[in-house]
Amino acid sequence: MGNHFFMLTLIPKKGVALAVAISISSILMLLAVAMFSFINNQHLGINAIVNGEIAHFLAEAGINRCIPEIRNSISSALSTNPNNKKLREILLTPGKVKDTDITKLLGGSWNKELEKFAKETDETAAIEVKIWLRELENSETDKKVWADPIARRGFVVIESEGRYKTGKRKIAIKRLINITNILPGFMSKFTMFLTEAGNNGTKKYNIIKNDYKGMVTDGPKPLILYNHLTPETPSANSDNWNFDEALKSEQNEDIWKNRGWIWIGGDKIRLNLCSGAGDLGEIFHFYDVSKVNDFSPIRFSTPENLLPSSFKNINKIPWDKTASIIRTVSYKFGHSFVLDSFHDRSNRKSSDAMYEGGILSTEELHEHGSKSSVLHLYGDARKGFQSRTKVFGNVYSAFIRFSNLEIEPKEPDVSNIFKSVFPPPLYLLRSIIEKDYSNSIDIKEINQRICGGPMLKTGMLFNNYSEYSSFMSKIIEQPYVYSYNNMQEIYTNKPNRHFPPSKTILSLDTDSNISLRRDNHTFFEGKPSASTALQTIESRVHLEVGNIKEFWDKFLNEDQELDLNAVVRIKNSENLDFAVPPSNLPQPLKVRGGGAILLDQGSIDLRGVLCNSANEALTIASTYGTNIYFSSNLPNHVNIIAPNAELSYSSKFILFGSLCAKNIYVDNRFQGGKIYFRPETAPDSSFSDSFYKVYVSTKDSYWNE
Amino acid sequence: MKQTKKAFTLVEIIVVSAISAVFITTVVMLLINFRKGYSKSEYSGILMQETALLIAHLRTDLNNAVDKQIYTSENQLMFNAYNNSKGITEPIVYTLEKAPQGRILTRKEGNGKARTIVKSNVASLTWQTSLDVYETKPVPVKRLSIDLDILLEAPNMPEKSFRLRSAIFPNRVNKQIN
Amino acid sequence: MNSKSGISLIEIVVAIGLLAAVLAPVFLIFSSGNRNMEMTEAEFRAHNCAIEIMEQIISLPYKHIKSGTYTSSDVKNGLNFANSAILYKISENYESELKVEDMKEKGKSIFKKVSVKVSYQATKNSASKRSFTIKTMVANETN
Repeated sequence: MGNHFFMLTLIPKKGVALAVAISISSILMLLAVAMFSFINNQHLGINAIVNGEIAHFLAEAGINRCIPEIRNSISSALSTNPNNKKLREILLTPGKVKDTDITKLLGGSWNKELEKFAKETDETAAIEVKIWLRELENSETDKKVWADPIARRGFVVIESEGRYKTGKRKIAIKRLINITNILPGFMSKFTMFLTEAGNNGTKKYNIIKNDYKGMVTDGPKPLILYNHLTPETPSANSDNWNFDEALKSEQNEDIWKNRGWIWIGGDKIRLNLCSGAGDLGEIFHFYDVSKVNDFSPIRFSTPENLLPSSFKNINKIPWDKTASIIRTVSYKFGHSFVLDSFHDRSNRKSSDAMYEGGILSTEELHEHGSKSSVLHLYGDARKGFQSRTKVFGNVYSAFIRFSNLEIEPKEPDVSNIFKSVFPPPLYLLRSIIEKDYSNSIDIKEINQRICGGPMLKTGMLFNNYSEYSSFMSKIIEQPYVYSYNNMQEIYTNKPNRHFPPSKTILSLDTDSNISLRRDNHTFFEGKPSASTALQTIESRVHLEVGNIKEFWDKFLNEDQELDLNAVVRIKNSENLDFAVPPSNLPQPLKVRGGGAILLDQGSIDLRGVLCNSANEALTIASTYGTNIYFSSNLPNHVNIIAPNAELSYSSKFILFGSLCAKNIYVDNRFQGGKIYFRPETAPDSSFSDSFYKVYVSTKDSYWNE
Repeated sequence: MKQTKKAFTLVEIIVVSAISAVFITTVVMLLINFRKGYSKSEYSGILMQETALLIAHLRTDLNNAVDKQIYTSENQLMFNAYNNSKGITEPIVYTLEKAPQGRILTRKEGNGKARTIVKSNVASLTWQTSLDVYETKPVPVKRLSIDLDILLEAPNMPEKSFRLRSAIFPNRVNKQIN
Repeated sequence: MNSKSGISLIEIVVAIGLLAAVLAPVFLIFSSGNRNMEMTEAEFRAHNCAIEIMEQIISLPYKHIKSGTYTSSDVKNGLNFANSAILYKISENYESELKVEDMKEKGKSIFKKVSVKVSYQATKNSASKRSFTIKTMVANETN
C-alpha cells in the first residue's frame, strides 16, 4: 500500500518530466525573448539619440558649408558686375516678395559635396540643404522720411537636414537680409545742404575780396558749387561729355530739376548767386556764354510800362553846362543796367571793392556789418558753364545796388556832346534808405564827370521815395529766382532782355515742400531735414563696430582698399576723429565697394577718397560730429552728412558728392573749395539702381532644430 | 495475483532524486540569475535611456536658446528658445518635481503642458552655467557652458543607479557672446 | 502498464537534454544581454564624450579653431587653442583623434571641417575596440 501510494504520488507519470521541461523551456524562452527585445529596444533607443546628435552635427555642417557662399552670392547679385541676373531681378523687383526657394538659383554644388562629406562618416549618412527667401517686405515706406519700394527686409532661411543611421535632425536658421540703397536718401539730390547757415550772424560767409581785375585777394576763398555734370566728374557717361550739349541743356527751363540743389537753412541768409568766367568767376555778372571764349556783358532794360510816368515822356530840363546860358533841353529817360559796369574796375585797388565804400546802405550795414554776411555761391566759375539750380531755404539774393539812368538828348548838338564823351557816362541810381532820400539828390556820372548833360534832380523823375525804391527794387534785393529766371532769357538768346524777366519759371521757396520721384514712384515729399536723412541711414545699418580701428581692420582688403559693400555703424565712444584714409594708409583711399558709414560721433577728416568706379558711392555720416576737415587737396568722392558739424578751415578741397553740414566757418584762413554734384548719384536718376546693396547678416536671427 | 509491479530500487530513487535535485537547483539558480540579470539590465537600461533622453533634449533645447540668459536654480533650468512653427520665442523650463516614488524631471515649452522626461528617481542633480574667459588678443574669448551632474536611481532600489556628468556648450549662444 | 506508468531514465535524460538545449541560448542571451547593456552604455558615453569635444571646439570663435591633426594626447592635454587649454570638460577618457581642415578660396579661409574620431572598448573585458567619427563644418563669418 505504501508502495502503491509511493508510486502514485512520487513517481510521475510518463511524459510529465518532458512536459515540465518543455514548459520551463518555453517560459525561459519567453523571458529570454522579452529580455532580448527589451535590451534591443534600449540599445536602439539610445542609438537613435546618439545618432541624432551625429545627425545634428551633419546638419550644422550643411549650414556652415554654404552660408559664406550664400552671403557672397546674394551680395554679389547687386554688385557692379552682377553674375546672377535672375537673383538680381528678384532682389530689385519692388514690393513684397513671395517666399522663394533659391537653392537652385544660388547654384552651389553644396548638396553633392555635402553628401560626399557625410558619407565619410557612414554609408547611411546624408546632408541636404535648402535655401529660401522669406518674409521679404518693404522697409522704407514713409514718404516724409524716404519711401523706397526696393528697400526691403526679410530673411534668408537655410534648412539643413542631417541623417545618420537611424538619427535625423533638421536645423533651420533665419538670417536677416536687408536690401537698401547706399545713397543717403534725398540728401544726394543736394550739392550742399546747410542746416544752420546763419548760425554765427555776421561775417559768416565768403567775404570775397577782389582786386580791380576781379581776382580774389586775401581773405576767405570762395566755395564753388558745380551743380551739374562737368568733364572731371566721375561718371559712367563721362565719355559722352559734349560741351554743346551741356550748353543746350541750359536752355531747358526745367534744367534745375536735373541739377544738384542747394538748401540754406536757419536764419535769413543773403545769397549771391554768381556765375561767370575767370578763375573764380567775376561776381555780379551775367554773361552771355553762347560763345565759349567770348563773354559779353548783358544789358537789361526795363520795359516802358514799368517805368514811372516821368520816364515815358520827353522831359524838358534846363541846360546846366554853363551857368550863364539858360537853355532848356529835351531829354528822354530810360532805365537799364549792365551788371558788368559795376564790377569794380576802378583804379582804387582796394581789396574790399564790393562791400566797402558805401555800397551797402546804413540799414544793411547795421544788419550785416560793414563786411556783409553775404553768402556767395559760385554756381559756376568756368568759361562756358552756368550752373543754375534751385536754392531752398530762407534766402534771397542781392545784386549790386545801382541801376543806370539812360539819358537821350533830343537836340542834336547836345546829343553830339554826349556821344563824344569816352567812356560814355553812366548815371547811377543808388540804393538808399528812405531817410537818405531827398528830391534834390544830384545824379552824377559815375566818374563824377560833367559832360554837358543835365545835372538831374531825382525828384524830377521820381515823385517820392516809394516810386524810387520800387524802381530800384527791380534790380536790387531781388529774390535769387529772378536772377535764375533772367539767366533763362540769356540762354534762350532773347534779343531784348529786360528786367524783371518776361517769364517766371522758378518761384521762391523759403519753406519748401519738395518732391522727388522716379518712374512714377514718389520717394520723398515734404520738408527735407538732415535728421531725417540720418534717420534713413540709421535704419539701414547692416552691422555695427565699436571703434574706428575695428572698422579699418574689418573692411580694408589686402590691397589696402576699402571694401565695404554695406552700411556700417561705428559707435566711436572715444569720440575720435574719423580720418579717411587713416594716416598709415596711402592717399587717396581707394574704395572698391561703396557703402555708407555712420558714426555716432566724431569729426570727419577727409584726406582723399577715390571711388574705383562711377557706380560706387561712399557716404560718411556723423550724427554728433562737430567738424569736417579737408586736410588734403586731393579729390574726395564721398557724400558727407554731418548736420552738427562746421566745415572748418583747412586745405582747399575738392569734393565729388554732396555736403551736408551745419554751417561753413569762414575767416581769412578759409581756403575755399569746389563741390561737384554727381548727377548719377541723385536719387531720382535712372542710375540709382546701381547703388542698391544687399546684406545678409553674419548672425543668425532665429534658429530652430 | 501475481505481483507484477516492480518497485524502485533504492539506487533508482537516489539517482532520480539526485538528478531532480540537480535539475531543480539548476533551474532555480537559472531563474534567480535571470531575474537578477534581467532586472539589472532593465533598470540600468531604463536609467541610461532616461539620462540619454534628458541630455539630448537639453542639448537640442540649449542649441535653440536665443541668448545667454540661462537661469538655473536648484530645481529649475530656464531659458528662451525660438519656436519655428509658432514663429515666437518662448521659455523652456526644466523642473525637478516631487513625486510619490522620489523626484522626477519635467520639461515645459511655453504655455504647453509639462511633460515628464525622467520618471525614475532623481537622486541628485546639479546644473549650473559657467562662463570661461580666455585671455586672447585683441578680445578675450568667452565660452558659456551648462555643467550637468545627474544621478538617477531606480524607484525603491537605490543600488540600481546611473550617473552622468557632462557639459553642454550651446553653439549659437557662444557665437553670440563673442 | 508498468512501462507506461513511471518516468524512465531516458525520459529524464531527454527532458534534461531539452532543457539544456533551451537554457544554453537563454543563458547566453541574458549574459550577453548584460554585456549588451554594458556595450550600449560604453557607446553612449563614448558618443557623449565625442559631442563634448566637438561642442567645445566649435563654440570657439572661428580664428581660434586651429587647423591640424591632433592625437589623443593633444586632446587630453586640452588643446591650446585660445592661449590655454580649451578642452577640459570631457566626462570620459577615451582614445580620440581630432582633425581640423581649413578650406580656402582665393587665399581666404571660408570654412573648416572638424572631425572627431573616438575609439572605445565595448566591454571591460573585450580586447577589440570600436570607433566612430562625428563631423561637422564651421563657417568663417568674420565679416
